[in-house]
Amino acid sequence: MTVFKTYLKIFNQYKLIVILYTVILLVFAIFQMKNNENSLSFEAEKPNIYIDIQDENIGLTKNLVDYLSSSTNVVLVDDVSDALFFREVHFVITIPNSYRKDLLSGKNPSIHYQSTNDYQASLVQLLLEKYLRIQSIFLSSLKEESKTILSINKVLEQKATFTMNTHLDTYGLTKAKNYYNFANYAILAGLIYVVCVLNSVFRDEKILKRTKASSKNFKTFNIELFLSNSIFAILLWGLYVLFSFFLVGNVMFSIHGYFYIFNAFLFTMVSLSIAFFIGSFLKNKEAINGIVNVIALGSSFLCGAFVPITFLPKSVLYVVRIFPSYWFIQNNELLSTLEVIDSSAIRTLFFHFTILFFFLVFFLILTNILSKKNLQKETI
Amino acid sequence: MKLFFHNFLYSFKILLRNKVLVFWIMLFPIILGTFFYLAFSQIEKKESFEAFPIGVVVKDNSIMANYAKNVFQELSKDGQDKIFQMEYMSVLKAEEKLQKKEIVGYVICSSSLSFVIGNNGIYETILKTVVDQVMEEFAIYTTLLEKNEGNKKMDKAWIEKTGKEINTILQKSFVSLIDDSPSKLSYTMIEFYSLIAMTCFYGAMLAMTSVNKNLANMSFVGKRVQVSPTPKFHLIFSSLLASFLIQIISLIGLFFYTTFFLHIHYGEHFLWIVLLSLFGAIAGLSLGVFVASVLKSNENTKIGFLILITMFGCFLSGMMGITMKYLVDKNFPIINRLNPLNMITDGFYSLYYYGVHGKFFLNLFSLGCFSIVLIGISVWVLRRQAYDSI
Amino acid sequence: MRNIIEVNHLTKVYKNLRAVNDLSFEVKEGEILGLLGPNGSGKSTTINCILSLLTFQEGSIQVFGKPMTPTSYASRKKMGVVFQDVCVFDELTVFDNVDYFCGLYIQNSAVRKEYVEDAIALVGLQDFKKYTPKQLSGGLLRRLNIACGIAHKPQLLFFDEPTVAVDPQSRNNILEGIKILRDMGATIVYTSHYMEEVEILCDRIIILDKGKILASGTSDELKALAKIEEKITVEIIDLPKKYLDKISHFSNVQNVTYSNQVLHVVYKKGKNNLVELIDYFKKEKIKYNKIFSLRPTLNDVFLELTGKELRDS
Repeated sequence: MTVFKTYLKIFNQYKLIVILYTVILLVFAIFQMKNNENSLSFEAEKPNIYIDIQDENIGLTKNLVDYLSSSTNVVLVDDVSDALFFREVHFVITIPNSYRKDLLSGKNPSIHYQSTNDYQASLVQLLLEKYLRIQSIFLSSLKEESKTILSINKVLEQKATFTMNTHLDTYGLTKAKNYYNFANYAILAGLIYVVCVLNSVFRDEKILKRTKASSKNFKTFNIELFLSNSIFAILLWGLYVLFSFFLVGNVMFSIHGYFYIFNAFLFTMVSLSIAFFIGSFLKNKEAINGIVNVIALGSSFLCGAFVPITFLPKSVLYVVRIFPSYWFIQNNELLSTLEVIDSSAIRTLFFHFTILFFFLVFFLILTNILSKKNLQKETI
Repeated sequence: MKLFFHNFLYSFKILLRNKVLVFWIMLFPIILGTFFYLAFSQIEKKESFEAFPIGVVVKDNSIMANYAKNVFQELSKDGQDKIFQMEYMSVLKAEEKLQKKEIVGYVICSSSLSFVIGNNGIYETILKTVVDQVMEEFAIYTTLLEKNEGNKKMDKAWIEKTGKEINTILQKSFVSLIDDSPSKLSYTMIEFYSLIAMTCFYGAMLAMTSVNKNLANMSFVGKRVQVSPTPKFHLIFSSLLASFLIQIISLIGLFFYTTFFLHIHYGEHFLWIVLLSLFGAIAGLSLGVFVASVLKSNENTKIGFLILITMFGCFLSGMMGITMKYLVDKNFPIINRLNPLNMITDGFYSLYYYGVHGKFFLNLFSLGCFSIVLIGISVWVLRRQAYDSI
Repeated sequence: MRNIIEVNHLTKVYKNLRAVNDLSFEVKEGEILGLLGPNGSGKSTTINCILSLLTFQEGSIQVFGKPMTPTSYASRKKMGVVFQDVCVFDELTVFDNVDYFCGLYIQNSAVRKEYVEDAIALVGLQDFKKYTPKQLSGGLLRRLNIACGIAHKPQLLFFDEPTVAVDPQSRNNILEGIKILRDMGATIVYTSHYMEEVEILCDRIIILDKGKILASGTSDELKALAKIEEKITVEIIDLPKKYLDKISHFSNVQNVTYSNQVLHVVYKKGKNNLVELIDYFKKEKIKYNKIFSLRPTLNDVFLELTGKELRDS
């Protein structure tokens, strides 16, 4: 109890910095989620394009513009170059001023385009090329503008019927996934920072000497300190989960949501054991900031918390299996695509949970071994 | 002059032995750069195509079904145009495979086409585009058939003949598409630019430490230094020169590492890049001097403050996601015009994307103003020789 | 009286320094044992080895009749340490600091509260309970350091140079406190390089140098080792050399020096040496100013044993 009580007193001393750090991390999480919503997600079915119409917008020109407007998202931007670089638009089409006249007089006009050369841009290019092909075929056989337009549009009306074989709230689940993936950074950084700062007080060389010379069993001491720290860990996790109810919404109240929450809880405990382990040998308070950034940013970048996991090189994904973050994020990714959580899905989820649990035990044992080794030293 | 050099040398030594500072300015940018490299190296490459698995269910022997079968087979052949890895299967099997996410979706071919997908993503969109296109191509034949009064029967021979005709038309009359895409569109460069900006501004910690060392109200050493018979500005200037040198060394290190190990190409405007980096380093330095002389708090708080400013500036200039820079540039331009870290990032971006251009010089000019204002205020504050309290 | 601590052939080698070299001694129940030696003689290393904070190469250590290991919690419960450095939480108040460390030994909170109050009273910090360490002066901080070490009323106490850099008032308070603890029955191991402290405080003294025991015994026993009875100092304006030679041939005189108008006469043994010397001065009509005799100090013992002064090393 004495360790716990003292922990609370020290926590009280550092509460301002702890609260500040927690708030900053949560703000980051919210920013990150809002940011993810309108960019870089493939879920946007219609790519954004920009059309620079220099021709009079009638007849064949208008028909082309209309077609593009219906099958893509035509947006207005101030600075086309910047918009292209930052991928607000993926394709820029310039229709020259004599386009329609040239077409009707049998000349071959040319359309200039700028493309970002990615999925979205290829899709637009595919649509554009297809349209122009159909246009050429009918124009050369029908010769007349209005008939050509009619035939083109009739062909383009053809749409295969499709069924989306899913009842998943893809949007909500993706939101939940992004939010909980970011937890890898927020929870890891928050816990390592706070636990290291608070524990460095207990693990101060001189004070530790006195603790070691006391009749307190080092295992009991470690356990008491770990449990004290877990109060903060659970608080942080609870706060994070609470925010997810507001930010993500309904999905969090489904079985998927409960799995997200449990997954995050397990990861919080693993992070705590990592933080505890680091805190048990880190002596220099100034080094904490550096360690936090390297571990939290590193695992977040490399395990797919920031960058969608599909973009990561295979070799990297193979190596990062040694990080608990990888298994945590794998679970989040899996949950976002699961139609029903059936027995095979549960088996996979629990396999990952077990791995996370082993990490937890591993780091706790490691901390105890290290403490035991440190009871007696070569030099003081 | 001798004293100047003496103080310079010792400041240099003291700063280099400060492990925390050396970590932040020399090691951290390189570590972060490596993370960026590992995380982003594939992002632009992977955005190009990879063939994906689909199922094809053939319901009957209609012309449409046969036509579609041929197209999917064609698009599954190894080569440049490969889009799919297709497999014929029954509806039951296809449904099972879709459930297990082994295929993206399956197409049912009969007199009309329909398809089933399990999700809503880019692969599904591509599948839909292709299936639609098959329908449209077929519709072209139907339309042409209607116009062609001689033959009213659609059969294989007719399709082949018309196909040839279409090819002749397309060779004669077409709209040519001319690619004007900028050659430099790699947006992950922004990450590395903000990394350089970050390194420049972590230099503020060096500058702050070396100024504090000479100020009586900031450190014990400062008290000792100030009772010595040397002009304060003399000492501050030589200490700052030492910290500037370390800044330059770490920038060179970062450029060297990213260029030769991470294969980042900063473009051909080498001298302008050097100039911008120097301006950035000076801006970082002046922020350090400003914080050291104007803020009244202990050194740890000041370092925390500098890290916070730097990270927030980096965040706004796109380090944690380049969209942030674009959003701020577009919606709150004033914020990023005043954000010194964005001045550096944006300067590099302008140089990379637009070349030597007005935008670049605007950033250079802003950095100059930023430094002059901060150093001006600091000098004004530092001119007071005695303190109310120490 | 039983032995509380038994140290046998303890040897501790740092990289290239033999800090403790084949050291053997015991501490008896109820005594104050002083470990005296210059800086770097191995006092703190010895204590840290006994506490099992340090590994050592050879030898064995028994505390309360059992071998001491890092996990000898039963023994540790009865031991208390006051380290050379102030080891307290800057974040906690005086009371909370003592309470925390006491809590590592004693679970019962009522008993603990009483103990903590006792400890604070013993070191005289009653008026500073709510202060944080940063608000305390150096001497008060030392007292807090002691309170943290003794609050759980241990039977065996280690004081490792508790009075280094302490003002005289606090030093007296500390020494008085240690005596009270001894009177309450605690066994105490006290290290210092101040011989006066050790002399007044300790029942038995071990003199250490370069990790070895030079001598041990009570203060008087040790002084006998100095092989001198007394040192007589006389101020004389002018003393011709012939008298000097004469004095050096007195029966008990070991050594005579005269410089800067001060005469030092060292006697090996005998009684009434001072009377004899004064009589001689009268007889020869030598005028002298101040004359006094000193008993040998532990410093002389150290000088005799090592050829160097305790203080300068």
